[in-house]
Amino acid sequence: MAEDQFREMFYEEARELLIGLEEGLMDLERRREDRAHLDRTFRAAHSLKGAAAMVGLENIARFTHGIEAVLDRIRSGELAVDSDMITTLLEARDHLAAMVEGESMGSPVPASGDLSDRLASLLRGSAAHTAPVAAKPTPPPAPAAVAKAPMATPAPPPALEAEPEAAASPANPAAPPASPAPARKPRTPRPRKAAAEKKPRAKGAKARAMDAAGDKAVGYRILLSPGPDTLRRGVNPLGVLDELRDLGRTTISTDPELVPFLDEIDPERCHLTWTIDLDTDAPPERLEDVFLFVKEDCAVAISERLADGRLRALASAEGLPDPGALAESPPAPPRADAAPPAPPPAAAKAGSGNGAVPRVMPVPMPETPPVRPASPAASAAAAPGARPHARIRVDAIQLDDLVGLAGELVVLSDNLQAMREDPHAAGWLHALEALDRVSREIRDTTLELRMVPVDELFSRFHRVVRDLADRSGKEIDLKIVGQETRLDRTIVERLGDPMVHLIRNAVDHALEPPEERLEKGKSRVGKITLTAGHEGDRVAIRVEDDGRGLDRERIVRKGIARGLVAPGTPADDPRVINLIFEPGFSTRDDVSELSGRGVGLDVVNDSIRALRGSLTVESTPGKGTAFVFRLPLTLALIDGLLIEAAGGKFVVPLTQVEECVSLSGMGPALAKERPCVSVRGELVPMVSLRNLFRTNGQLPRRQELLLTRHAGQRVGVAVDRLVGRVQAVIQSLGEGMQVLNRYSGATILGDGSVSLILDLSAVVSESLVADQGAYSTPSIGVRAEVFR
Amino acid sequence: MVDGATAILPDFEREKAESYVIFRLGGEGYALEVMRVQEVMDVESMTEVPGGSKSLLGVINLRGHVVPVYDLRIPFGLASNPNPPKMPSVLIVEIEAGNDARVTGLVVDRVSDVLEFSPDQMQPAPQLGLGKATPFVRGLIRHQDAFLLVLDVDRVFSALAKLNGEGV
Repeated sequence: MAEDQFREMFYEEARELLIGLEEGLMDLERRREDRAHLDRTFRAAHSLKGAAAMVGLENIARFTHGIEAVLDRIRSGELAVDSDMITTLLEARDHLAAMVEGESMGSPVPASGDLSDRLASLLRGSAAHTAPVAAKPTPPPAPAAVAKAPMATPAPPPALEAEPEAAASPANPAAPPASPAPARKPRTPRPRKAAAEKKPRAKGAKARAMDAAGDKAVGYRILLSPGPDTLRRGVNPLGVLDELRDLGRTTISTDPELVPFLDEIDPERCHLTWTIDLDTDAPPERLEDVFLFVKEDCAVAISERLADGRLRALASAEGLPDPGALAESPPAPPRADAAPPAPPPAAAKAGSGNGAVPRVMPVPMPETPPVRPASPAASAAAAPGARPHARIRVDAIQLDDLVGLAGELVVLSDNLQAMREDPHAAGWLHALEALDRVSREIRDTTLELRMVPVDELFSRFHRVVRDLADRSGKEIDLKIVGQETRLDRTIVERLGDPMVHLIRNAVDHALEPPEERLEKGKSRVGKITLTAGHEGDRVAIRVEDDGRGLDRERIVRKGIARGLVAPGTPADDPRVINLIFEPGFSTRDDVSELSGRGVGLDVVNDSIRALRGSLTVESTPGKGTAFVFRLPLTLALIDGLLIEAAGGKFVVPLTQVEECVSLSGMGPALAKERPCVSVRGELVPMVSLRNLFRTNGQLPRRQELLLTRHAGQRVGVAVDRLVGRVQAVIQSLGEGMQVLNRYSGATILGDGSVSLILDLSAVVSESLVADQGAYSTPSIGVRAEVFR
Repeated sequence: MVDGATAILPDFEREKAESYVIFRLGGEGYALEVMRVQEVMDVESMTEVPGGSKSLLGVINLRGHVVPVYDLRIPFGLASNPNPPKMPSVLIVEIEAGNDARVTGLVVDRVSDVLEFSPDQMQPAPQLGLGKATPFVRGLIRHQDAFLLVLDVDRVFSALAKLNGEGV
């Protein structure tokens, strides 16, 4: 059970890390020089590996190691980023995602041998073109370049050869954010298989720079410096010491000087820093496991004690500046929270003077060479950065319940408000108003919980566009505007597929190949812009390209051929463009690799409609096309109009109603073979709910007409009576009733009765289809309204 | 009556025995595992769903949740009740639908009892002879000189779903 929970947490964490990894890889390509970015990306892979190993998913950890290793080489400057490499890494990430999902579904996906090989060959490749880099001053005599050659002489460990195997070794949960400088435990040369199997931590890349003498580690020296809040967080550092004792023989010492005077002492704070000498056979991974739970706010520095008494830095936990990073930039100013690097013996005392608890005790390797001048800014940015904003995880079901409750409260409040009419009610007016205010606040707050920035969705498309550009041979620049706009989580989740579809369309149909663009006087690189923003109480999302624009001539020809529009319809008819939303309508005659897989814009349109949104298109020939989604902010609650029709009460979403007019005195007139009414001089087709619901009985003297917009055209829906405005908490109808398109759900009214929510645009479509049976020859007037 | 059914069972049998809700529909007695029945309620008001399938009587408010209510007579091929009760008895039944269980109401003529039967009291249903209800009957239980038809409620739901899919 507990294990299951850990697994669940891992899956969630892994998904986030995978997103981070993907974004990082995408950015890596664009901002190759940005070191901070690279570090973050590396850290995502690294954390994922650690997390996987922690929950026992060794194969995932192993596979991740391959990715991590490549990123590590990029960090150390041994590999130059190129597009193919990013492609490989992205594919590996995708496979990793599949592995994670496979595990979570209980059907594990094996690691891809092909991808592992490709990652490995990237690593091998690093030897070839980094020789000059490797030639930088590495004091130990072993020439690194030679060591790196895959066919190296036996003297230096065959580090590179071992690397691919390393990917197949149990991962090392808290391996250092590997830096080029501190060398790792060296190994004596041995056959690669054996090396991989017996020495799992074949992070040999670092080992190659070691000198041969005195490099035998006899134990570890660990500096453990708990952060000021360690005790307050309920972490007991003594437990860590006990765990270390279990690993082998320990000598633990601390510096009493660090303890302040009694009147200054803060009993809730840990003032001590321990120096632990540990003699053990345990591999460093085991050591790092010990610190797994304290590394968040404790500074831990592990170094190996070599036979000749020297210390070699081994690992730094999160919260420590990367010793390598420090080493890389010798003049780097200490970070605000970091004590200046001090040689180990002095380290314990560092900071005691000024009373500050030394948080960080890196143990730099004395002979660490300055490898690459990194700007102070870069190393500061490279500091283990937290994600910019914390996110909370909320159980979706609980959250929905909360939203439902809040909605009910509002309904109750509405109900009470109705009692105002009673003249004796004056006494509770105050309470009533307070209830009203509170209930609305609760609603707003809970709804807020469901809102997420569209960035979660948009940022995915960098990858999509990149892949599409790769495959289509077009050059595309993706621009994103307004990614902070918030939308209901459910909407954001369901927008993904429609948007991918549109983007795919844009790449495949709309954007011209570079040469063609140049000929037309456009820039070589095509542009796709995703924009999100508020439009009244809705959110509008535009997917815009600067490609060819829709070919109206061709659309109208197809429309005529398929009998969707009357022959002779001019191409500039405003409704022509809506033809592309007709089922099965494609202006593309050939099915390309990218799109045209039988899914048309009608599907996109339907899925947007299911979210109570609308989809429109704007297009200028030669300039480009924009698809605009208009979506409600949330799905959970709507402002509705309660109406009566056919003896029942129904709720109509207010956003679908433009206007209500009384029908008395303007009797329906048959125009163009269907009932129409004239509203302020405009002839509006009319749909009667009574007809649709097949109710007979007395027609009320006065009917009400709800004017709605359907496919860019005004349509009136006649109902018997308007009852009033309601706030409706939408509940889905059972599965069996989803075939009834005309209802988008149901809601419970203040009096406890259930009312169905009408989707006016579905009602209009349905009624038009029904009418078509009635009129033998549909004229253009009727057909035109079928446009969606 | 409850005692009559259970008292004769030896202890080990009683452990295996299952409780059934006994109800009547169109002159037949039916039994449905009690585990599948969330509650039995008398429904005062139901909201009609214009355009729904004929077996869909409407939707009700079950403590804040909208629940559809179906008439078993349609899938069972029974003539609709000539004088439907003002407050019909509705069995609120859970459907296993993937991960989440949904609830649905089934209108019956009258719920009479909850009885326990051991598995060996159930006989397989004959392949013929039960009319349109045959596919929905999992077995027969002899009780008081008559047979109770044990309902296979999942099959009922798939039949209802099919009726829904076909629209009106």
